[in-house]
Amino acid sequence: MRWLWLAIFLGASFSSVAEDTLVAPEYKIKAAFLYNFAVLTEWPDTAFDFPKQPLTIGVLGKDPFGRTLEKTMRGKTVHGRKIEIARYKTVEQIEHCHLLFISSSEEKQVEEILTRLAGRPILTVSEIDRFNYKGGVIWLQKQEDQIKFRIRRSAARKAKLKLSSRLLALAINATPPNRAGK
Amino acid sequence: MKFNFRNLPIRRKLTLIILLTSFAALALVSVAMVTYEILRFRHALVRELSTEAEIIAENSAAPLAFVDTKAARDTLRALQAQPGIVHARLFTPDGKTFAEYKSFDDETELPDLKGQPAGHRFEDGYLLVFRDVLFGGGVVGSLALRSDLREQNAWLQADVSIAVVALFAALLVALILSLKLQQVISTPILELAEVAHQVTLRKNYSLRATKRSGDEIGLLMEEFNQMLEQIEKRDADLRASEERFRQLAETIREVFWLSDIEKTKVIYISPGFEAIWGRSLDELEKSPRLWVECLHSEDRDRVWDAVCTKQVTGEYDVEYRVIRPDGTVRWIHDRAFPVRDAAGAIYRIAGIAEDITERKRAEENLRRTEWLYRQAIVGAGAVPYARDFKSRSYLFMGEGIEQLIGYPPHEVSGDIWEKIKQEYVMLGESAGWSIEEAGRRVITGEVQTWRCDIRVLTRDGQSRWISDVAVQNRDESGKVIGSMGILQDITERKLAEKKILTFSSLASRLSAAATAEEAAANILETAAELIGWDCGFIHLYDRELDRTVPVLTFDLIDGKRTLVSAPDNAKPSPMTRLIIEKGALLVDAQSRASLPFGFVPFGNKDRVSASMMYVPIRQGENFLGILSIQRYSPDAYNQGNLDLLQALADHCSGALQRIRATKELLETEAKYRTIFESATEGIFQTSPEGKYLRANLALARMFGYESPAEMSANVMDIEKQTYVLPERRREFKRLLEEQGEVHGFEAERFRRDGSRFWISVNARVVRDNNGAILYYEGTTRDVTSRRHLEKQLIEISDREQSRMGQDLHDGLCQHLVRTAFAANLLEKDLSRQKSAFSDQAKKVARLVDDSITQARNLARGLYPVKLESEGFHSAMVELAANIRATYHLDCEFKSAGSISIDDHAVSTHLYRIAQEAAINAVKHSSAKKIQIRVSNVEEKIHLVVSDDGVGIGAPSDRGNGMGLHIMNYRAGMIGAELKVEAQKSGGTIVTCIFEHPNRTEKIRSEKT
Repeated sequence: MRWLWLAIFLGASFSSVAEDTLVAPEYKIKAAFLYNFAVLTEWPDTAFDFPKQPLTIGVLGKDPFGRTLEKTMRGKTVHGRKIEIARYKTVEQIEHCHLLFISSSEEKQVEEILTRLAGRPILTVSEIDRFNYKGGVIWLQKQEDQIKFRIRRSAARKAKLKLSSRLLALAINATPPNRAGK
Repeated sequence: MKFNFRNLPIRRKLTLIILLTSFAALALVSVAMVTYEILRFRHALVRELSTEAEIIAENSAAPLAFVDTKAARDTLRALQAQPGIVHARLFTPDGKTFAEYKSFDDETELPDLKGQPAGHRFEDGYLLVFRDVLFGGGVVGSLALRSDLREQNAWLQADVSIAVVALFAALLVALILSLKLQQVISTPILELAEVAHQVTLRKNYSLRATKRSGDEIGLLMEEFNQMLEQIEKRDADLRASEERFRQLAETIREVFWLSDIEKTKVIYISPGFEAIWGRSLDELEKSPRLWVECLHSEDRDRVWDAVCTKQVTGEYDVEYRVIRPDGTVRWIHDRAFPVRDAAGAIYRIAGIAEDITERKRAEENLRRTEWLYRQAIVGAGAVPYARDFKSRSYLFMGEGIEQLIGYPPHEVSGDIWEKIKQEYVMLGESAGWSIEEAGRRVITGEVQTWRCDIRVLTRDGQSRWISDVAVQNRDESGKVIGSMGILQDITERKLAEKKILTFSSLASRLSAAATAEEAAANILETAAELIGWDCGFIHLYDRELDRTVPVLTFDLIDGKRTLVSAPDNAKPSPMTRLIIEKGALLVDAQSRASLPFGFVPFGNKDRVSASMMYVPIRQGENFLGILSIQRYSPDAYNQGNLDLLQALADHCSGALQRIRATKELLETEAKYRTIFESATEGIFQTSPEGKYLRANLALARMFGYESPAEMSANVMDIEKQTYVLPERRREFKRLLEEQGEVHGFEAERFRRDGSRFWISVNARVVRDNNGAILYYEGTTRDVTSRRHLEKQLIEISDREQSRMGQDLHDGLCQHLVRTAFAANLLEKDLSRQKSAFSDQAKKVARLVDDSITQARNLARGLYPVKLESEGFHSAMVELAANIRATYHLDCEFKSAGSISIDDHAVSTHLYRIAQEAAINAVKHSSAKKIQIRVSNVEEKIHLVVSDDGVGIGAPSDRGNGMGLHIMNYRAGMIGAELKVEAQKSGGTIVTCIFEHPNRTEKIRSEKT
């Protein structure tokens, strides 16, 4: 029930739309997570063609968010950039993408996708099991009704992304900074 | 005790003010500082907490965004490092608590933080801070922090402690400083206060404050001193004025007083009060009504009435008595008058009280005396009277007048007096005037008192003496209007006076009486006057012969007192013996018969006296004689008469004794006079001045006068007129005055005709009781013939000596010279022959030489060759040499002045005197040294021979030695003065002073 309570909380704050009630509350949170990740990540200058180029959040595969994603991102900026939502069916469609959610539908060819995207400054996020061990950066996983994430720092480094320490501190696999000192 | 700042000493006040001021300032500063500290601290706290909140909010943003409560809690847990933060909470945007932190000891609930804007506030001792948590440009939650203020309070406490300590330290310093610094103000003020206090205490306005500074206090001192100066001056003026008043008030005998109108208080009273009232001023001051209590009870009401009514009008003038504490009473004369103030209202009473006790007493005494006098006058039988001159009548006449003159007072008038007046004596001022003249002068006032003794015949014919003594009575203008007097019976007194007069006149007559007869006549006459007699006698008694010597005997023959004879030189009668034995005797007819013997009749023997009085005349114990008066009438005498007669006898006994003694003296004197007058030796009395007081005939004749009287009349100066050498008279007087008498004093004198003769005088000096010389008296003998013989004797002796000397010199000496010559020749011959006898011959020759020397010396001594040949000086030199040679002793001669003497006789005598004196010194005094000095001083040759021998005895011995006698004689021969005296140091001085002959000659020629 805890996540339910959370969903209510999130729904209120993200001014969710009633028509999105078909979308699982879980994805409302995950959509907020995506925004949070974008906030706590620094892209290299090469990732943008011009200074005011909006940040593109892409969904590859089957979109679990519906309209929730748009609603979540509406009116928000990241590092002064507007946010664009892009949906991709195939990996080849991906041109200018900064944060890519790889849907669980792509579980089978995930390794291929990642290989194709290798070297590109794209923050990859997915619910696919063991995603970060397969070359992805952030693995979203559900744990005791709570949504946690794991981060593969080497994959981030390969993609030339700088992840905020605050983000790292919240990852499950990360040692909390305040305890690291002990 | 109530604390009153105003009454604190100025020192404390100043200190307190300074302390309070300091305290207030310090307290304010401390409070400000602490407040500031608090504010500053809070500000810092807020800032610190805000920073903390910022950090927490930052760190909580991600957990909030990722809804990671665990991470959020971890973040909050970091607050443990901040002990002040007791509570922290994270809220979700909808106000729900997201994460919370509490320190362990915090149990308070945090207030609901929803809706709280960002910021902070203090609340209930906590600081609350609120903050939004931002993430990616949006608010993801909010944070609330609560911090307690423990640290602040600890800080504050320390701050306050420091501030308090600093405050008290500062106050202490302020106290010390103020104690010192307040003196700058307080010391002069205290000094001033002390001076003021002293001035008040001692009333001494001469004190001054010392000015130390130029500030207001200095000014104050100056003003104060000026004020004191003014006060002092005013005080001095006041005191001087008061002193003047006090001296006046306290020196005069009157008592000044001042009181209020109601007499409740004495404002001033001079100290004389104490002496008069006998009470102290203190008593009066304590009890102002004391003076009323002192009043005599009889006077009290009267005086108090006068005090109450008359003092304010100034009419108060009373006399009253006061009783002093010792019970004595004083009379006071008290006057008072009102004193008005400037507005004219009476506000005081001033008065003068005077002690009039003496006056009162005097008045009382006067009254009493007057009464006593009146009593005395009347009691003494005196009659007072008052006479008015205008009406020539008596205003008053005492009752006693009737007894006095036999007329009653109303009858007495001037006419009566004229009628009875027999005789009068004016006495006192008007003595010697007639009664009319005296009366006139009394009326005109020329004389003031009237004294008259008047004899009157009383109405019944008695003779009576009355004394009238009166004084003038004058009216107010001084005009004589009458007299007051006293009449008194003085008959008895007159009689007594008569007795006294009679006695005194008798005394003078008796002293003048030369013979017993004269004296007796006077005595009997007096007896007749006083007592009266018919017959009487005075017989003296010769004790040695036991005979009666009748002096005077009277009897009444043919009515006259006649001198009758009485048996002369008879044995005393039995009556005489009885009187000698028993004393005075009164015999009347009866007692006469009882007498065991009969009477020796005298005068008219036919009649027999009926009354007789016999009284002894005595001088001490000696019975001189008997006085008797008798009358033929019986009972004529009484005991009083006998006493009077005895008094008379006693009175005249002295005179009779004197007469008897004088008589005896005259007889004795007559005997001596015979001796004096018939003596062959001259007898004299001379005054020291040189006059003959008395001399007998022999003396007068000796000097060539017919009688002593002639001599006394002619010789005025014995020394100049009769002495050949006046020095001798002076010597005579000197000897007399020194020794009292002189014997055998010989001197050459001039007779009346100028011829010279020698007399020897024995004399003594007669002195009065005080030792002053009255005269010299003595006897003289003419020794001219004896002197002449002596002179011849000396001359013969001198001549013989000279001859012997010449013979010795010319004969024996020449012979001896020849013998010596022969002896020398013999000696030479014998020596030439070398004979054994040559020595003996030589000895012979030497002995002969000695003999020659001795013989020559002898010859020279006997005959002074040089005196004749070479003069006095050489002779004296030779004399000294001769004595030296002869007696082997020290003899020197000295001379001064010209001592050449022309007269050979004089030089011979002087030489011989010197020789004699020197030889005396050798022979009798065993002298070792002799000095002979001759000097000529003022024409006088002084020859002095002194030696150091044992001296001669008393000068009176000098006559014993023949040598001295001859020296005296020689000196007398040439009229020189010779003195032989013992020296004090032993030895003798013989001095011979010879006056130059020329001078002597001159004096002599003047006399002749």
